[in-house]
Formats: sequence, C-alpha cells, structure tokens
Amino acid sequence: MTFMLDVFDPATSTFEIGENNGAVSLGFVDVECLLGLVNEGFSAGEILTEEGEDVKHRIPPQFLSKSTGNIVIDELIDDIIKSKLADDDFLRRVVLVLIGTVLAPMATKIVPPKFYALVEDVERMSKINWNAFTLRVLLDSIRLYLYWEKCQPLEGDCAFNPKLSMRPLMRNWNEAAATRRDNFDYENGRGRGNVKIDENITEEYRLMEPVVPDPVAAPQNNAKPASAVPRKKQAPKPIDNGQTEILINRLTGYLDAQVQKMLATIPALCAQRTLEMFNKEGVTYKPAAAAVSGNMEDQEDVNSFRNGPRDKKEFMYKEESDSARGGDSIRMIDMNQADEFDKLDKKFKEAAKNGTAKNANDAMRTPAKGSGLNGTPAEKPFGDVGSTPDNPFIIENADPLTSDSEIDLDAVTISKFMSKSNEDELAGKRKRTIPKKFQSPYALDRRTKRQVRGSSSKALNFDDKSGADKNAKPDASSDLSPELVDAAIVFLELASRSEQHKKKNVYRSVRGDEVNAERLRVVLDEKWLSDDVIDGYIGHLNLRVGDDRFLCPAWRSKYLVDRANAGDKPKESSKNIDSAMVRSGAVGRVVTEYTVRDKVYFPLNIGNTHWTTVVMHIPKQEFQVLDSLYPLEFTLETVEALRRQIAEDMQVANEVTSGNHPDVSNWPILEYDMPQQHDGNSCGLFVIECMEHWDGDRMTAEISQIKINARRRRVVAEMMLSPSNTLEIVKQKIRSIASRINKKT
Amino acid sequence: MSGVTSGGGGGDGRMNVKVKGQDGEEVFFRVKGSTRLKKLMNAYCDHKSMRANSFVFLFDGHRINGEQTPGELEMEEGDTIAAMLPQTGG
Repeated sequence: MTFMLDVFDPATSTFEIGENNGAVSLGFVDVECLLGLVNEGFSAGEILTEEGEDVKHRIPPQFLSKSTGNIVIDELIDDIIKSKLADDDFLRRVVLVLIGTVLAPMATKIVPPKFYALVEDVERMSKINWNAFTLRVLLDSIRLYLYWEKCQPLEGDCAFNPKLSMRPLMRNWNEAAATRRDNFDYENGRGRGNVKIDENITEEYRLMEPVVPDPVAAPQNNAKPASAVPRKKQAPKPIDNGQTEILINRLTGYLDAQVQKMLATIPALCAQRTLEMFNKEGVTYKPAAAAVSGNMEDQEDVNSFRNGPRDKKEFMYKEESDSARGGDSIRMIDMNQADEFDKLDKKFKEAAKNGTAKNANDAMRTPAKGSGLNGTPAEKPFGDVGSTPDNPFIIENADPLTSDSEIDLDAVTISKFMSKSNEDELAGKRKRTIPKKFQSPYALDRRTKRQVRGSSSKALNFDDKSGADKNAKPDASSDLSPELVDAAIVFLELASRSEQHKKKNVYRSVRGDEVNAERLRVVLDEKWLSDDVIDGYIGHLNLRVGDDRFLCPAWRSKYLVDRANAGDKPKESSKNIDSAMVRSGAVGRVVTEYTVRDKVYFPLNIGNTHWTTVVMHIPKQEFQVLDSLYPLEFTLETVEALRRQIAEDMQVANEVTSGNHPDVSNWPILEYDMPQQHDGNSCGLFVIECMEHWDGDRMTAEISQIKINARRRRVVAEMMLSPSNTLEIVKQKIRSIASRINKKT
Repeated sequence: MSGVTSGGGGGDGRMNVKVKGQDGEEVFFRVKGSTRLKKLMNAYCDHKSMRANSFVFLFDGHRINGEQTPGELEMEEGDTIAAMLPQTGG
C-alpha cells in the first residue's frame, strides 16, 4: 500500500513502478478490464454535484439505520435477504450495496448518503457511467490522502495558514500540531474547524507569500468555521521536487526539521494513515487520552509497588500483536505470591531477632545461616564425601530466604521489554487507535472480557486432598479473550526474561505440580517440553475432559517404567520400608488411578528425547499408543515396561485386596494412526492434544501441526489462567494487564 | 521398625530420611516431623548443584508437595524419598 502511494503520480494518474518500466496507468480501460463496466452513460459526478447535497435530506427512512441514521451496508443486505418483492427499493438496495462494497469501497460500514442520488431514479441507474464513477472515486481517494488538508479552524492556536501548508499536507504534521488539532476537534466537535480550500491557493500564491502567518489575509476566511460545510479540495496540481525543496528552504528551521523528520518516517506512516484516511472526509483522532488514573489498583501492593517513571502518554494501534503495549499502563507486574507460610516464617524470624518472641518455634526460626540447636551450620556440604546416616544433612534450620514465587516487574523492565520487541518503533512516532468505524465492515467485534467469562465446565477434583473448594467455580473453557491471551503472553515473556523471576512459578496445582516461567516459555519458543509443563497442563485439562478418562502425570509413568526396569523388587524394600507399604502404594495406584475410569492416559517419555501417549483402554482391553513422530518399534520397549509395572501393581492389588483386577500383561499394545508432527519439538503438545481429544477410538477434534503451533499462545494462557492454578496472584496480574490492554484499545 | 519416632501430627521428633537419586546415590537428611519438605528438596537440589525445583520427589509413589511435612506423610526413620530428574522430549 505504501509503495503504491509512493509511486503514484497524481498528475497523470499513473503508478511509476521502477525507473525503466514506464508507468502503469489507471484509466477507464483498466476499469473496464477489471470490472467489465463500459465507459459510457451519464456522468455520476454530475449527478452527485447536482443532487448529492439535496438528496441527503430526502432519503426514504427504509434505507436508513434506525440507530445511526446512516445507510448501513449490513442492514441493506439483511433487507435484501428478507425482501420478497423485486421492487424499486430492492434494486436500490442492491445497487447501494454494490456501491458500498465494490464500486466505491469504503473502509466503513455505511454508504455515504450522497450516493443515494445515484439510485434515486431507478430508470437512470442502468444508464449511469459506473466505470467513470469507480475510477473517479478511487483516484479521488488517493488524492485525498495525498492532498487533503485537515480541518483547521481559522482562529486560535492552530489556525489555518495556507502559506505554511505544503504538499503533501498530512505528511507534514508533527506531534504537537496533531495534538492541537485533536484538542480543537474535541472542544468544538469534529468538522467545526473545516475550511474551504479554494482553487486560488496555488503554488504561486504560496511561493509568493512570505512565511509570516497571516490567516486574516487568506482569501478563504469567508468560510466561517462554525457554518462551513466540509468540502474537500480535489487534486491540486502536484509540486515537483525542486519546488518542494525551495519551499522547505523558506520555512522556519523548526518546521524544516520537523518535515525532514516526518519524511523519514513516511513509509511506515503511509500504510497506517492510508487505512484510516482512505475515502474519509477528514480525520478522526482518538482523544488525547486523559491522564491515566487507572493505576490505583496497584497501590494495594504497597510492599512490592515500585514507581517506575511515568511514561509518556501513547497512542496505540489496535493490532493484536501490539495490543500489549502501553508502557504507562503496565507499570508493574507483581507476582508476589501470597505464600502465607513464608510470610509467617519471616514474621517469626523478625520476632526472634528482636528477642520478643519466646515461643516454641523460636529455636527453628533463628535467622538463616545461624546455628540451630545442635550447632550444625545449616547447609554445610557434608555431601562432598557423601553423607551418611551418622552425618546427615541437618536441614531444619535451612531457612530459604527466597520465596520461590515472587515476581516484581517494574515499569522499567516492561518498557525495556516493549522497546525490545518493537524495535521498528521510532521515538516520536504517533500511535493511534483506529476507530471502529474505520475498520472493515466485516471485522468482527471483539468480545469483551465480561462476555467471555462465562463458565462452562465441570470440576473433576479426584486427586485433590485439599483445596478442592478452590475450584468451586471452574472456568476451564478454552475460550479466553484475545486480550487475556495477550496479557498472559506479555506476563510470561516478562517473567521469563528476567533472571530474577524466570525460576519462579507461574502455575501450581493443588496436587503440587509446579511450572516456572522459564519452563512454560518453551511452549512459545518451540523447544522441547518438560514433564512439569505437561503435568501442569494435565491439571488444567482435568477440569475439561470428560470423566471417561484419568490423566496420569508424566512423573507417574516414569516412576512405573523405572520400577519395571529396576526389577520387581525395588531396593528400598530391602531396607527399612515395610514391603507392605510398597504394596499399599501399588494398591493405591490401582484403586485411585488405573481403575477409576475407563481409560488411563499416560504421557510417556521415551529415552528423554520424545513424548508419546499411551492409553490403557480397560473396556477394550488394550494399550493404545499414539505417537506423533515414531513408529511403534521405537517406543515399544518403554510401553512394555509400563505395561509390566501396571500388571505388577494389579497383581499386588489382587493379592492384597482380593480384588478382581484384570491381568493386563497380555493386553495387546496397538499403534493408532494420528496426525504427525512436522517439526522436532512439538511432540509434547501433541500429547496434550491427544489427552484432550482422543476418545479411545478416534480424535474428536482435528489436530495438525498448524493447529498445534497456532495454539501455543493459548495453551500458555489457559494454563496460567486455569482455575486449577492456585497462584491467584498470577491470574490477577494477567487480568490487570488485560484490563489495561482493553482500556487502550 | 526401628522408628525413633512416629512423627505423626506435626510432632517435632527428628528422623533420618534418605533421598535416592536416579543414579542410586543416597543422601541422608535429618528432618523434624514438622519441617516442610520444601527445605529438604532445596537442600537436595543444592547438594546436587541443581537449581530448586529441578527434581520431582516421590515418596511411596506419590509426588511430594513442598508444603507437606514428614509428619503429614507419616514418614518414618530411614524412609526413602526418590528424586527424579525432569524428563523432556520433542
């Protein structure tokens, strides 16, 4: 788009692509070739000139939206569909939709009212020269962008001074000028400051006049701001570069510098502004957002709150990837997890130091590194030579001062991060929110956070010994709003980039599965997945999958395989552990894991290089292997070990409880087809998908490498925002980032 | 068995437990029944020159939560905790 604008020569209506290729014209013939419209008939321009203004006031109400009073494309389409008669109104609607979408495409959802003039007379409609109409609208749009002079009042700070205006005008604005115009618009209403630019402001006129501002002398001051009807100037003659140079030289040093600066940033700006400006009369700015007052919520965290420098107010694009910006709003992320034990610990320590607390805990609450009752330094490395029962580590006084899940990120960190990830952004460049009406008529409205927060799932807290109540309001739906996902990503990126925070947990389930920022980040980085991430996600999935399956954590499958490979009698049973305890462990696994549901899903690690899914399907009496990369031969040995240990456990359970659990040692190990991964790192994510979507016979949802990659961000966000995550502070922080993103967009 | 203490209910009796790594090396710790196992885990990670949370600790086939205490888990003198390195794969 920027390129097209740069190479457009308004004088000849051609695009000069390359130096030697000549110019590509844009004329009637081209329109005829593209749209098949013949260049003949009444001039639409004349009709518009004659009737365009009048017709605005006599558009029949059936064409107008009740709420806005405009001709809304979507409503026209609705009416066309509903309409049972092929009457004149039907024809008018069809043509209006055609105008709004094809002939004179606008970046808005409405058809400009003046175009009703074209369809008012049904008979005439077919005779209008639509070819010329389309061409003219398109060319005007480009010229409008290149030449349109922003509405400016005749008086006041930012009074219009034609002598200072150079071609191309929009490009010359600096930040200050744009802000002033913004303010004027907001105070006086948009369009109030319009001035009519007459044809008599010619190059010569502008060249002739000195740079001294003299608005009164300007001939167009007869158009009073309050009453002037917005009229655009159509394509003044372009100035060639030489003249532009002369002009620039005449301008004040300040303006000169500004122009140069702005010219340097033209390519990037062009694209953005074009989107906003195309086909629009004038420009709408977002208000220079009122001073941010929404930081109050942070004040609660007095202890951890750090005042970063208040960044400058910024405008923002509404692009998804950028929506996480806004240095001023995201002042701090504090993942100061409410670890009551640690806090208690510290309190006790304080008390002990002051010698005021004499309770029983004193002895073990002495400051770290201090000597305990037995006088052994807390962390003295006996282990250098291997500790023995006579010489054990004494750890009761090892009081780790560091809370493992406390993350304070201040504004400096964030803005650093922001600037790092947005290197293309130059200082002083304007950011604006694109108003909704400038967006495509087909753009979907974003759902607000509130709409999204519906709950839609059930709680399956089968393995929770405590804290099951915390999941009282499960919301494990994957339906997070884009803002929340963005916010979660921002949060994770920030946490994982900081040396201080990357080892801190961002997820902890009631079962004790913990995932720290660094580990979770590998999901985004497309690296190998570690078991804690899988286990953590299982904690989340447990809320979502049906109760037909039990999702075994990854450490469990490893434990089983290790035991199977170590032999039937693990070493520990020979020492102090009563073999009955080992047996009770096996019984416990059978009763609480293998047989509680129809299917048991094991994420199985193969040789510490690969993840695969094994499903023990009890009704079908088989082991199903779902591998996204390797054939069964590669994994068979490990799966057999798993099967052997499960069989062993079952046998023990049968002996101990005289139960009748099946002998799984003979169950077949069957390989099932599944979509394959195309990279070398996503097998862990395929496992996650299998656990959710494999129902024992087939996939209930489509899985593919593309979908997996597209889901990475969401997986991360879901996990941190999962109701199964007990680190409420993490969720709070993400939500607070999201709310700022919302505010900004 | 030779239980010096039964350590139940958060009692303060001390006991020796060992942490057994995958390489078979056993490291002994003396803990109070009321000490949170997080300390033991961190000490073990330090000993192994690994950073905290590097291992998964299993006791009797169950994963140990750092907030639990030996008393809650009904550990006894000489009990073994298994330490497993994280698994990874692509």
